[in-house]
Amino acid sequence: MTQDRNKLSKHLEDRAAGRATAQELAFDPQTGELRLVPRAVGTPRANPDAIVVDQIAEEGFFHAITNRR
Amino acid sequence: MTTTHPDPRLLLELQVLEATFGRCHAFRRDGAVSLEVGLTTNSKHRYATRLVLPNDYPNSMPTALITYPQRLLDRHGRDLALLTPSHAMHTLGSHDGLVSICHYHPSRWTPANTLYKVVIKVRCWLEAYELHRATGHVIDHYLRTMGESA
Repeated sequence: MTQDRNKLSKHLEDRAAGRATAQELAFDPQTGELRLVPRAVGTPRANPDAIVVDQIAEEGFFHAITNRR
Repeated sequence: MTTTHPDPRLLLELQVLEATFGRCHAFRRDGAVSLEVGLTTNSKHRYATRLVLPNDYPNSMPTALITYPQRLLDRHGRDLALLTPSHAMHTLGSHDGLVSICHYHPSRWTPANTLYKVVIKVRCWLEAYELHRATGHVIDHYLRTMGESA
């Protein structure tokens, strides 16, 4: 895997496990990519159009509880 | 956008989807409105998702299907549509041979949720799907599971 993909994989693993992450995941509508960006704490994002995904993903994903494989 | 659906909320949601993900195709089939959205993953693989809206949308949540590619294979070459429902892969079932993605839990769905948020979840699922293909970890390894109640 590429370095970027490794970082994205690690981020998703940490989020899924409930671990804190230094960065947040954003969707860039210009490129269609999911990107890791520094957490915006009182600072403007490099791309103001980027959409933070973590808040949406944090709600979790429904799964079929009737059939755990 | 190719729908004549008069619902102002749906029209607004379509505008948001098109501004974010590009052109969407809306159509009515068997009385239900469906929207198709193209998505490209970080590795530049192209997919399409179809959101099938229930008649009482937004009071009930839409179904999210992967329509392109028509067959999604897991790392071992098995058709995900034949493996569903699967907790490990966050799939709910199949419709017409298409994989249905788990996104919101029905008990957690509220009218305040939007198609945009569903598509973002599908986009995340696709990235996790490709990671599964690359590493062998199941999709649940990458996506947090939603509780049944708020």
